[in-house]
Amino acid sequence: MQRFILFRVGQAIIAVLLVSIIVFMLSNITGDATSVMLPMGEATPEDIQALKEKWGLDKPLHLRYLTFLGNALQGDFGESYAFGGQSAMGMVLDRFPATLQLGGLAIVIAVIIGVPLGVITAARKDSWLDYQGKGLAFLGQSVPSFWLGIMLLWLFAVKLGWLPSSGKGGLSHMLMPAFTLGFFQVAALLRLIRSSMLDVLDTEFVKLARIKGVPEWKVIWKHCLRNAFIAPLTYFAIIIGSLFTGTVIVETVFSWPGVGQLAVGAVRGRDFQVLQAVVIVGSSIYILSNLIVDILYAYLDPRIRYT
Amino acid sequence: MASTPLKTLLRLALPIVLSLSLAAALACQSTAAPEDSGGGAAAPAAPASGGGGSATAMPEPTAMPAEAAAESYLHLAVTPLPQDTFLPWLATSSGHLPFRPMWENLTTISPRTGVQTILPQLAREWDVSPDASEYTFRLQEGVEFHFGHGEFTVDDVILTIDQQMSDPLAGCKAPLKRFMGSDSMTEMIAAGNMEVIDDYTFKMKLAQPQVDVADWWFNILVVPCAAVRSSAQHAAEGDAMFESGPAGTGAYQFVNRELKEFTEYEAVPFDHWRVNPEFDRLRITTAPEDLTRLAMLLTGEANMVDVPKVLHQQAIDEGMEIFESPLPSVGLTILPLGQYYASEVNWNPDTEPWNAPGETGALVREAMNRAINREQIINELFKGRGEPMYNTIFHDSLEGWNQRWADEFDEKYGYDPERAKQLLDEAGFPGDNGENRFSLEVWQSSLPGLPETIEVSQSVAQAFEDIGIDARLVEVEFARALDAFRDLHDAHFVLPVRQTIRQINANARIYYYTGPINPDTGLPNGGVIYMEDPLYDMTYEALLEETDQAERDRLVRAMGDDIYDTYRTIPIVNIRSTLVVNPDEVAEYEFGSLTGVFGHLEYAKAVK
Repeated sequence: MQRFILFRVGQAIIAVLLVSIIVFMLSNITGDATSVMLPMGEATPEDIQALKEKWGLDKPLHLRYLTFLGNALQGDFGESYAFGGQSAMGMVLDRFPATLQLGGLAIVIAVIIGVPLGVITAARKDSWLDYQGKGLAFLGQSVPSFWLGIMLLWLFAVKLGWLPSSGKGGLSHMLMPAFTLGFFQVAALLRLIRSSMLDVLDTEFVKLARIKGVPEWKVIWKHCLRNAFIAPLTYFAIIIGSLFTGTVIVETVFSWPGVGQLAVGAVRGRDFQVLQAVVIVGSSIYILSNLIVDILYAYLDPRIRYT
Repeated sequence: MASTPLKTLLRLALPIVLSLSLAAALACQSTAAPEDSGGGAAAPAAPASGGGGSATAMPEPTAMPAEAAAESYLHLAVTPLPQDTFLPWLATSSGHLPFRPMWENLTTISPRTGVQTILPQLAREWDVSPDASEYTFRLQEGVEFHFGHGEFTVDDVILTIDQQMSDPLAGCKAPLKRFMGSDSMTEMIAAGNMEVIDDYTFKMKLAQPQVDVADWWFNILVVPCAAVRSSAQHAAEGDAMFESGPAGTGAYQFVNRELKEFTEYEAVPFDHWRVNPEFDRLRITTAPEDLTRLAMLLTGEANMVDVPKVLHQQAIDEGMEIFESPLPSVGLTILPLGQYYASEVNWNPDTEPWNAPGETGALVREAMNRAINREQIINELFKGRGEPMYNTIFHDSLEGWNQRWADEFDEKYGYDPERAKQLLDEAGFPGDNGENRFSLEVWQSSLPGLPETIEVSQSVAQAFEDIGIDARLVEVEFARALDAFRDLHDAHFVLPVRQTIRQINANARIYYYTGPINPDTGLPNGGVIYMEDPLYDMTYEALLEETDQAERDRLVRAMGDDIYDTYRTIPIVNIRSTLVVNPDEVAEYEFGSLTGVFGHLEYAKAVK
C-alpha cells in the first residue's frame, strides 16, 4: 500500500509539473504583456524595456520558467500586472472561499438530488419515474451552464422576484449559481448511480437477501447502495475538479466574486501571473482530489494496488 | 411492504436535512462576510486611524437600499474595468471610474459643450503664455478634503502629479515628462522650472511648448493625470490610504471598495463647494455579463446600467428609459494599416494595394469606402443610435471642422458598390472578371465600450467580398494588434477600431503622429503608429505650440482635408453614450464627458 501511495504521489507531482510548463508556455507565447499594460500611444521603447526588465520578460523563456518554478514552489506567483502590484497568489486565496462556498453547495445539490434519483430510478426501472429521471439526466448533461444560468436568473430574479440576480451575499444569492453549477453533476451522478445500482440489484446476494425477507428499503438503501457506491466515488474527484473550473462561466453570469471571475479578468487583461496562479491552484486541486480518491479506491479494493 | 416507500422517503429526508443544514451554515458564514452586496450590509474595510493625529472620520458600514428606506441610492452597474486597482496612477481612463465621484481635478468639461470648452474645477483660473511654454494656475480656496484632512492647496497638486509619474506603467508618466522636462513636479521645483507662489498659486515653465496642459493633461474626464488627493492623508498613512479610504474633494466620499466588484460612496456630510448630490449614497458595481446587468436593473438591484444597444428595446419594453449623452462620445473607424510614408517601412503594393502612395492607393481606399453601406450598419447594428462619422478624429464640436466633409460625404464616400468596382479597375486591380482582385485581412477585436465592433468587422469583410476583394476575417486580441503597430513591418491589415472623441491634439497624436525616427531601428520612437505622413507630423508639432485659434483651425483643417480627400481612413459611425435607467428612481443624468466614461454622477437627479 505504501509503495502504491508513493507511486501515485510521484505521478501527481509530475502532473503538476507538466501543468506548470504548459500553463507558463501557453500564457507566454500568446504575446507580450507589456503591449497590453503600457498606455496606448504613450510608451517609449525605454518604458517598454524598463517594464520588461522589471517583470523579467527580457530573459529567455526557459530561464523565466525556472525562476517562475522556484518562486511558485514557495507560493510566490509574482505580482498581478492588472491589479496594481497585488500578490497573484494572495488574490487567488482571497477569492477562493467564495468559490469554495459555491462549489460546496453545488456538491450538496448534486448529491441530494443525484444520489436518491439514481437509486430510485434503478429500483423502479422502466417505470415513469425512471423515464423522468433519465430525461432529467439527459437535460442536465446537454444544457449549457451559461444558458441555464441566464434562464434561472430571468425566471427567479426578474420574473418571479424570488431571488437576487447577482453578487455575493447569503443563501439566496448562492442558490441559482450553485444549482447551475451542480445541475450537470446531478445528471452525471444520477446516471452513474443508476447504472451501478442496476448491476448490484442483479447480483446473487441481493436475491438471497430478498428471499430471506430483508425489507426492500433495506436491500436497496443499505446493501445495494453501499456496493454501488464504489464507481461513483471515483467520479467525485472529477466533480470536485470540474466544480472549480466550472465556476468560470457561472461566476461570470451571476457576478459571483470568486476565482472563476478572477480567471476571466486575468485572461482578458493578459495578467499572466494571476492566470498562472489560478490554473496551477485549480489543476493541483484536481490532481490532489484524484490522488485521494485513487488511494481510497485502493484501500476499498485491494486488487487495484497490484495492477 | 406497503410502508416501504414511506420509510424510503424518511431515509431520504435525513441526507436532505443534513445537506440543508450544511448549506445554511455556509449561508450564515457568507452573510457575515464583508462582500455582501445584494441585500445585506457591506462592512467597509477598517480605515487607518490617521496616524499622526489626523482626524479621519470614517463612515459607518454601508446600509443597502432595502434596509435604508430613508436614504436614496444611486446604483450604477457597468462592465468590469480593464484594470482594477487601488493605485490611481496605474488606472486607465476607464479604470478611473471608481475614483471619479470622490476626487476632483484642476479642470473639467461639460457634456453639453464637449471637450473643446474647458471649465475650471479645482483650478479657479489659469494663464498661458503666448508661446504655450509658461502656465500659471490659481486654485480654488476653501475647498475641504473628506474625513477632516484639511484644505486643498498646491501641495496636493504636487503629490498627485508626482504619484502619476511614479511608475513606468502610469499612462501620464511619459507625456507629462515630455513637456515638464522632469520626472516629477518636485523635481521641476528643484530645477527652478516651477514656482509655488503661495498655497493657491503655482507657475510652471515647460521644457517644450504644450498648448493643451489645462485642456487635456489636467482634466480628469479625459485623462486621469490630475485627480487630486490629499497630501496630508498621504503623509499620515502612505499608499495604504488608497485601500482604506482615500480622501478627495468630490461631492461623494469613499465608503468601501472590493476590486472587481463594487465601490460605495456617500454624500459628504457638509455643504460641498460645488454641488450637494440628490442621492445620499452611490454604488458602482461591475458585472461582466450584459444580461446580468439588465437583470439587476429590472429587479431593482441597480437603477442605472450600461448594456449594449441590442438590449435597449427589451429594457424599454419593461418600462425602463434610455438616457443618451448630448454629444457623441465614441466612434468606430476602420484603419487600412500600412500607409507608412515617413519611416519608409517596406510595404508591398502588389499585395497591399491600399498602401500604395499617390493616386493608386487613394483609388483603392475610395473603392473600399464606397463598398460600405454605413446606413445599414447604423440601422442594423447600432439600432439607429448613431450618426455618420465623416472624417476620423474630426467632429463639428472640435476645432478645425470643415463642413465640406459632411456636405460632400455622400458624393465622395457614399455607398456605391458598382462605382467601387470601377475604381478598382481604374487602379489596376481588375482581378478575374471582377473577382479575386486582391486579398486583405480584416482583424476583428473588441474593446470595452463598443461590443458592436465584431459585427461591424464581419459586415465590412462581406462588403469587401462583394466588390471582388478577397477579405479574410482574423480574430485577434487587441494586444496582438498593438504588437503589430509597435513593429510596423507586421501592420498590414485592415482594423476596425474604437475612436474616442477627444481634443484634436490628443487624437492626432494617437492616430496620425509618427514622432522622431530612431536611427538604430529605422522605426518611430514608440507609441502606436496607425499611419505616417510628414504633413501630419508637422501639423501635430505645430499644434502643440500654436495658441492662435484661427491658425489652429487652419492647421487642423488642412490636415483633415488631406486625410479626407485621399481616403486615408474608412470612417463609419459616431455614437452617443447611453445608459438604461429606472425612470421611477432616476430623473436625470448628464454624462461625464465625450470619452464615454461615466462622470458627473453627483449631478444625477432623483425622482421626487
